[in-house]
Amino acid sequence: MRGVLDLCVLAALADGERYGYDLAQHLDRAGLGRVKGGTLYPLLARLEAAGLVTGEWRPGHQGQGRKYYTLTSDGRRGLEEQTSAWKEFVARATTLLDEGRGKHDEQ
Amino acid sequence: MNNESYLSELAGSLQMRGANSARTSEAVAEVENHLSESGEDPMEAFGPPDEYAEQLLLREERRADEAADARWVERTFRATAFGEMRVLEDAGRQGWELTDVGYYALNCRRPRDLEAVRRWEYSRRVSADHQAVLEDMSALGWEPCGLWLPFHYFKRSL
Repeated sequence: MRGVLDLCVLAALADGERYGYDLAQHLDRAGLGRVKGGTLYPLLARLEAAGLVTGEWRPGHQGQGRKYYTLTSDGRRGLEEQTSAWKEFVARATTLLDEGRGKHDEQ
Repeated sequence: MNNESYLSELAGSLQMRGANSARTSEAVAEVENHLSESGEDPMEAFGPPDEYAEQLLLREERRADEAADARWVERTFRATAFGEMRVLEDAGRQGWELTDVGYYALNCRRPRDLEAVRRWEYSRRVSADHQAVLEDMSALGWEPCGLWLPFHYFKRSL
């Protein structure tokens, strides 16, 4: 399910920039569970290396520097494409699961 | 492990893998911020520093080499003459092949295709007589892979 987490991170950045821990909390609030730092930051680094997000260091409210991530235009395009691909996959899987349940009910 | 010792181990692990000082301080600062804000335990949230460093850099390296469509992933390990054989032993076990030796630098490569990865062992000989060492080691199946006088480096596929 790693690809889906990539997609969720891109989606979480669609309405504006976020820094790492802010992202982790956002995903948690969205019901995706607590994503560990050991998963989240390497993922962000990979998205950045792929040019889907950019990171910028700025001072946070307590003087600590924070790295804020923003979607690039490539990231936005990737998000749109992968979102439709994912929805199509879910729709097919749902059909298959419903068929399975239909047969189960008939027996 | 407390935050401070975790962060310093992480910095060491990143540097050993050839991350430059900008990348190292950035990665460490990001972990530090996360820990101070979340109050989480570093081992719990990020795993052992060595593994976290590996995961962080490998993903970036593979990504960069994918973009370049390269056959090899390249990495420069940083070590001094005192610790380098231990670094090479670990690297060789993980499939890193030493291709050259420089100033505090062990230049390695590994096939991008993980199926093609071989494991390597390394040996270092100290001598002023290059020819004699070469003959000795070749007879035992060792291949020369670096020269930083008076150190001669040899590799052998495991």
